Amino acid sequence: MTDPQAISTKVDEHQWQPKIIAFLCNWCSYAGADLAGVSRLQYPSTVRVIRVMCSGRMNPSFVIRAFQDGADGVMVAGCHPGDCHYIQGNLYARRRYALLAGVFDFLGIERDRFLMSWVSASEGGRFAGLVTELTERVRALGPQTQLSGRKHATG
Amino acid sequence: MTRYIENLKQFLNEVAEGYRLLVPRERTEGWFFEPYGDGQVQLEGYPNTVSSPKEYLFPQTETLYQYHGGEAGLEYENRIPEQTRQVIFGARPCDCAAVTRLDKVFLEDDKDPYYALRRENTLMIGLVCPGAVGPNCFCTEVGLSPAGSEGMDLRATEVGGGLVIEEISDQGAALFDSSSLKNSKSWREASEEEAAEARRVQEKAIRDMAPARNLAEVELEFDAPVWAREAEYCIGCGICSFLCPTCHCFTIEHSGSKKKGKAIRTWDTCQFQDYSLEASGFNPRPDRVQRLKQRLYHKFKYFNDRYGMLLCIGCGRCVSSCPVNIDIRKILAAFERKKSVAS
Amino acid sequence: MQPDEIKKLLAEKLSKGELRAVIGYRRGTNPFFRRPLITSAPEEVEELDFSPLGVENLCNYITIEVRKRRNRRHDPEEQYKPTALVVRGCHSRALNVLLQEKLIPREELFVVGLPCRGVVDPRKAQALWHSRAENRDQRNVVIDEQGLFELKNGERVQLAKYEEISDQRHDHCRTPNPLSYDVMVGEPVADEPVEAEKQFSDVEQFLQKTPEERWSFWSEQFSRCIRCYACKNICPACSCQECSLAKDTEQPVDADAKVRKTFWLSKETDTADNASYHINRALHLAGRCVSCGECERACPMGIPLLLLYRSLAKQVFDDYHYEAGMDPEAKPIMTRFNAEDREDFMEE
Repeated sequence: MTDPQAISTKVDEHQWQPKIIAFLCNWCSYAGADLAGVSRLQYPSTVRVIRVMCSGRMNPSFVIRAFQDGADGVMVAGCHPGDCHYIQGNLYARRRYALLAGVFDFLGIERDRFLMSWVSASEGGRFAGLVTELTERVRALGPQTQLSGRKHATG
Repeated sequence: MTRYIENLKQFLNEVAEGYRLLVPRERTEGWFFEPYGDGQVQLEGYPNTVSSPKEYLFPQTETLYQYHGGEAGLEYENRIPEQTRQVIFGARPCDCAAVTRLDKVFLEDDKDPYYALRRENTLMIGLVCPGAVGPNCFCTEVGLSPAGSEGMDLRATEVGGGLVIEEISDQGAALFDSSSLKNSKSWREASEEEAAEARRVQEKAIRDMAPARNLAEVELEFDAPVWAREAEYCIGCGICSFLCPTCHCFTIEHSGSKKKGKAIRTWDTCQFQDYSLEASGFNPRPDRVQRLKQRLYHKFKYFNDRYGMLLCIGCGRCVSSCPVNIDIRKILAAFERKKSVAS
Repeated sequence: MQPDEIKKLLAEKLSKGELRAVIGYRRGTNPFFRRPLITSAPEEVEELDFSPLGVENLCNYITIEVRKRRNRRHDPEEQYKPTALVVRGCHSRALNVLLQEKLIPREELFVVGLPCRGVVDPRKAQALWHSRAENRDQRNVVIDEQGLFELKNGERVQLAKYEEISDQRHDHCRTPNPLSYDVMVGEPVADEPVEAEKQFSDVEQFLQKTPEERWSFWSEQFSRCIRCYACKNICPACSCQECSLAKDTEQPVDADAKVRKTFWLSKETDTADNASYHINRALHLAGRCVSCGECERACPMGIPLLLLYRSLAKQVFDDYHYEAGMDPEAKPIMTRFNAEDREDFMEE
């Protein structure tokens, strides 16, 4: 995993910046992201966080919709199995996102743009690292055009 | 002047220099109108296309306008289509006659600027049918002809390995004044014999398709049992309407945010369940039976009452492509001819 | 039971008022497939056809009936007489999916099982007819177990052997014999169906393409989609009262609610929106689609939808060893989870 401190997180306004949407569950991963902030850990400001109560609430349609609306990368994070605040929401999510990843693969949609992981409330550093990793992957791929219908990067 | 084209590929190459050219192409999935592109042309075995050429005048989706938030509030930008001149080559006489019907809807009372601009910039080169070319053709039963010129700018008839081209409209004739065609060797004046042969081909096609009945005379009955019977099978998709060359219903929807968005127009169909759903929640056509009736009444009565021509042009696409084989010809057969007024 | 005995039985049941309706196949005006017959008239049962031209998944009419009943807010205690339904092998799996999802009680169905030795591919048959027939008038088409023939002056002239018109997409069939039935037409198919592990050779072959080749293929196909929704509307598994992906259904009942409702897609037919429609629908069908192929047959543009849905069936099989519709009592796969479910697609 990429060390977030090693990557420059300064935003060059004249260069295209990836837009990353991160769906984080309220109890674990969002708290983890919060911890990253409170700990002053650096991670790219390319990420926009959307808090959901549970990763099990997450519908794969959200991910597809995010890509349609122009997201260059999408992240889904939830509690580790066994730690879900609602006992098993994340276990349903695990099945759903396995399928989503598989469909992207089958259709030839850039798989590296979608990232799912378990992030606990104490894993601030891990969260920062994941966002950085996804940002760099997406930066290498360029603006997302397959589901957004864009021909080139726009504002 | 009536012309003869021996080398179709050369002719089409020359047309493509000045126009966006659309030609019928065979894919594994069927024949479709596609941009000329790499210059492949093969009319051998060409029946009719799966979907009609109406999408080039009235696209499935088009943006009507866009807006974005500016300092002075919302700024609108009309998205009138670009003035690209286009030629649709190889449209069958039924599809060309369909354009006349679309013109009635989009141009007669209030001109639809999106359709109008495309229409003004479109040339129809129709291709005469040697007889019934499609699996379910019945154009002569709706008063049209496999050799008709309605809606065409030029009429092409296959004669002796080439095409006899007749001028039908001034715009059609003017095509041959364009820079790439003016002095071209791809065409010449047709001989008397070639022109006569074209007429023979046309007349034979008309004879071969002599109609068994005139569907303009059919008297539809509102409460006939056939409606409920057939509607039972309908799955409520949009295939019949979307493939039909004359169906023209559309819906307008908006997408976007306060800062940026657009209004788009897309095809709609009276066969969708929510097509006539009203703001109160009342739906005057809640069941498939009312929707099926609406479609046939529109094609065979309402449009005729208003414009003096049937909206159905007898191409048979709805019959060929209906996944449950609902056949409008069979439905119409359930109704007797109008009793003629005793004179 | 022989076809004639079955017809007699069904006609009798209708006459005695034991059945609400009989749903099966009959001849229509399209010679390349059979159209449905839905009747409560005993004399019409004679028209029933059990040939390989009956391809439509008739379970769809159960789904349509269920949606109609939901709309009318009928008395849930109301008793419905059973409906007789002709089902081929894969269709009996679709029926199991409907039973798993509690759409209709089994007692409301009288299942006429039709063992399937393959069906005709209507698109292929029509293309061969068009290219090989001397006189293309479709009234001259004859199709039987020997193949495709043209009727010329009362004589049958063979145009294609049966293998040329049979639907090869069904080579993966796992259930030629209906899984449950009240009566069966003829004898069951004796041949062993393809083994579970070998059933996805079509998907495996496609996966040999590179990601760029895959997207090049699918983006071209999706660009041709006209959003007619035939794929959705012909599918028995698409039973939602209001589809979240298509604005063609009536719920919610008032415009205010309709305006406020979020739709996942616009009606725009650009490739991206079309791709999203198909991806979302494929996900909704994971573990529910039985590969009957109706979506692809119905598609007027010939988009190879079956391949897409089977890619999900393959995933579900590989990951959970589950095949849709094999057991009417099974709990749908996406409503379950396992402690050992794979995580290799996730980031460490």
